[in-house]
Amino acid sequence: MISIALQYARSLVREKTVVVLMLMLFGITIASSFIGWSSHHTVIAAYNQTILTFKSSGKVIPPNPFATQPALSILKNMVIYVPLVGALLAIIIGQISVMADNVAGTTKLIFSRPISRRDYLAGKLMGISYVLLAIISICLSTSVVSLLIINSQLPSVRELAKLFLFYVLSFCYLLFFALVGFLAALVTRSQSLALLGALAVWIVVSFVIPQFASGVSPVASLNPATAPVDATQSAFFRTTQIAKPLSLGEEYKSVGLKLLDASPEGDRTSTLPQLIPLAVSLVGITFLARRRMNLLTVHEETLND
Amino acid sequence: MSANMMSEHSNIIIELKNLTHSYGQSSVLKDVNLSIKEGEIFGFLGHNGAGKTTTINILTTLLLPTGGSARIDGADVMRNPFSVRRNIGYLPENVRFYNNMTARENLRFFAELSGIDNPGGAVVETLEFLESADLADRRLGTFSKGMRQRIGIAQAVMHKPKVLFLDEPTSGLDPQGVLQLRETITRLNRDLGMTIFMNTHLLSEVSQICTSIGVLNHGRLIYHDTLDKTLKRFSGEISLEKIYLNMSEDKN
Repeated sequence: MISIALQYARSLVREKTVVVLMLMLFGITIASSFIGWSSHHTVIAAYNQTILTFKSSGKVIPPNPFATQPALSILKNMVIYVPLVGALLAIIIGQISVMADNVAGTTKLIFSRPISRRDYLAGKLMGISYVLLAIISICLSTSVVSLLIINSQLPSVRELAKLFLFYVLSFCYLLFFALVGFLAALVTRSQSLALLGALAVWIVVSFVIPQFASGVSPVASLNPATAPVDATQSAFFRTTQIAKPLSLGEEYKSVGLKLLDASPEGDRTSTLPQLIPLAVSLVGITFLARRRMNLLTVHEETLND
Repeated sequence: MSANMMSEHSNIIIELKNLTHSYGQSSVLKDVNLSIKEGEIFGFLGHNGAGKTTTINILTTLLLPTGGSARIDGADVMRNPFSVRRNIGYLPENVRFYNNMTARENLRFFAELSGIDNPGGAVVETLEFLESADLADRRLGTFSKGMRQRIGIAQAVMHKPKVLFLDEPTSGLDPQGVLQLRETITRLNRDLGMTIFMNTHLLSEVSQICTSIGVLNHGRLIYHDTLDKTLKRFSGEISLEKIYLNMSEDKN
């Protein structure tokens, strides 16, 4: 099983599509710090300009409301990048895991060895976890280094712990999408159909359901600077709010912002209930994948190519 | 059972009894009975679509037969597939590997899957035995068909199996590649004592390296004997090709 996992991890980092998406994710992880830092400095500059005008006209200078911005909050854009680029990368990693040997034509050689199909797929799942763990670890390290450079000081233990938890959350979120890709490949046994199916789930989970669930707060969807607004009185959106627990993207974003000390003012939502949909989805998709793995036998159509 | 018969029976390493396989309504193998002794190089002849690859797929546990049974070194391919897999090596027709990895990486992976204790050492040893050490650190994507076939043989024999299954091993090779591969097969049999089960439709190959032959015609085994006896029996015929054609025509 470990051989399968390591081999998969090794071959994956040589896949061009995967490498490009990984580099994109690492790039935007760096960019998110810079963007966070830059926007904070722009706001401070605007404040400084304003107080000059206030001073010249003899008005009372209001205190800087942004002076005490939490250090971690400059990373708040990560709650957008992970569900977009990260999830896409995870889907491809999950989908390739099942399809790689069919595409490479190595299925026959593998199953002429003393390895069961279940062990083989379990090895692939382990490989997926290794790769996602490596990706998340690199993102975490990049974020720590970015914070160190931008703030000219090491993050505190509390900040490091919260950042660590944010990336644990991100790992679980990405694992869900990797399992969606994995399951789609197991069910369809076709590379293009598997990708299409998994992308459809991604679109529904990341865009469609959040639109329904957060239709009452239209600026919320995929916007890190959520500003809670009063719910519209539309009956339609009051009804579609039922879908909120299925809105993994929104829940991830909300919990992620809390961990990055970037929650919008007035956000009183409790974290634990927000984690339940993600936990249930993760357990559910793992259960489905295991069930599907149990049904598998060696496919004749694969072997008589 | 006489002592002679016991001894003859005990060194049978591949045994097929009434082996049958169908794909839906299409019957590909029909009650094939065959016994191959340890140390033989068995040439399995037949036209395209005769059922040779299906037989190999069943014997390598990749495919379940729809009827009958097959044993490799006493282990049933359906009941004890893992025991069978530990004792066999397999080179499919058009062997394929991970093209973005080197030969060493590919072989190491298959060595690990085979449960070899020292996979790195086994890779080096096998490549040296096959005089292919120069290929170790090159990516498979850059390999010619002949080079690929050499690595294919290496992955099949690294764990020193008792039986080696080769499906059309010389197909698509240039004359030099064919000669090299035949020599390798002979060495594996002679030096390592491997029993070789080789699918082919090249009679020249059979006449040069095989010790026994079987002929499959539309899923039925129509002939099985040693090469020497076959050549004696059909001594009036000009070539093995003629013998094969006569056999096929008789049974059609």
